Amino acid sequence: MRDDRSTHATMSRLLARYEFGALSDDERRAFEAHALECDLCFAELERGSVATAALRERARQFRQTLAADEARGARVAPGLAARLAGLARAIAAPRVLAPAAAVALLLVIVTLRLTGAPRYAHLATFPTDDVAADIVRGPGASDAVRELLVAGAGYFDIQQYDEAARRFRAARERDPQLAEAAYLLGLAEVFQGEERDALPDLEDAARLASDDLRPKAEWVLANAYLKAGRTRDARGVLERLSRGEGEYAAKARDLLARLPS
Amino acid sequence: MTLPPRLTEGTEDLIPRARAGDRDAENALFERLHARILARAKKKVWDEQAAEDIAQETLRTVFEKLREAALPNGLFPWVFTILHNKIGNYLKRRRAELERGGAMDPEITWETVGLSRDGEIAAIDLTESLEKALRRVTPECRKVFSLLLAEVGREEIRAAFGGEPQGTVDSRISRCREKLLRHLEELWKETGR
Repeated sequence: MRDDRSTHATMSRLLARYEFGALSDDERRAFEAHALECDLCFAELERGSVATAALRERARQFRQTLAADEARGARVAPGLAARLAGLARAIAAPRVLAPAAAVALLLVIVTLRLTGAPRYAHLATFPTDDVAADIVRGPGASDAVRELLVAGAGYFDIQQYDEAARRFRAARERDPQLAEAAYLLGLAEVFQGEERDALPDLEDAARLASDDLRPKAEWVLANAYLKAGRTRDARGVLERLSRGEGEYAAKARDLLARLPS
Repeated sequence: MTLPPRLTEGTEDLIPRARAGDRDAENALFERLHARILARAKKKVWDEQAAEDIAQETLRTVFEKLREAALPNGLFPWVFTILHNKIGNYLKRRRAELERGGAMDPEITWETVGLSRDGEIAAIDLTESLEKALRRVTPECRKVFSLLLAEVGREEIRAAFGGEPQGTVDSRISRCREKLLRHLEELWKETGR
């Protein structure tokens, strides 16, 4: 059962890229082999087939909409330098974009540079292991909530953060005072690139956490602030954290030394 | 990417082997596709015999052309295109028959096959709906679609996300796809399609 769920989780993550023809040959072969046996994936492919086929057919028309959107200076997620490098490579590839679109994207790059992205977002780091260790195993959580957290941690471990977040969110709704649910939901949201959504959850986690969890929750909160461009808030949390002892206090001191005063 | 070993059991290389003319693989592929295509057709046309006919016609077309089809986007988008065309043709015929006979089957639904009420493929409506749905998703999602539509490779997409883990990138892409489809489905409900 675990194998089936794990396999489906791994494969279903590939579905969107499959629809857009963005899988490697090995990935495509594996995904199609799975979809021949998986009712869920087959149904989902059928559901998206009309829309993605139409999108692809009309890609040129939609690129104009997208270019206009970008020309207005819409900011994409953090990691700007690498992203711009990726865009630049895309622009440089003659098969990829028409000259007009390339010019539009170059304008976007200039616009993005001018509008600025979070300057210290690249310093943010987040724990990716020991998620299960944060699950409440004692009397603080009901069986139902614990079940949701365990299920969510399973999805988190296989990097299916949207499924993980859904379960952590359900746990949080059932027990809004449970710091672990808030922390795990915030962490899953961060890994989905939704750090702004994550901030209220992580703030609650830091506020509600016991002494055991609080340093880690504050560390994640500070890094989420950084990633969201709220450097001053990040500094405040790090300064408070750095006054303590232990692993996260040391990390906080190290990160503070790399931030502007 | 490391794939779980279970993925390679049973269906691995079934499609390439069938495309290469392996009769056993063709039969196995037919069996696996038939049940699912029949189930999808039943949901669209509400008539068991008609659904069976559509499934058979779809698979006949698929297997007639399977060897020579280029399939740049893989097997399933191509199969669904054929299936939707067959369903669309059936619904148009059925509607015309019912209207000629003075009755219209209230259970025939149009919204999920990309058909307008007059039974034509509503390409213009679909384009407009997609435009609207694209405007409702976040700028980041539009960026995701622009990269996918530009057909850049996996590494370029990852680079565009700041080199984040592939699982994170795939989760974001999946979320954007889901948001787009939900907006699209809402729009189709609003317009009564």
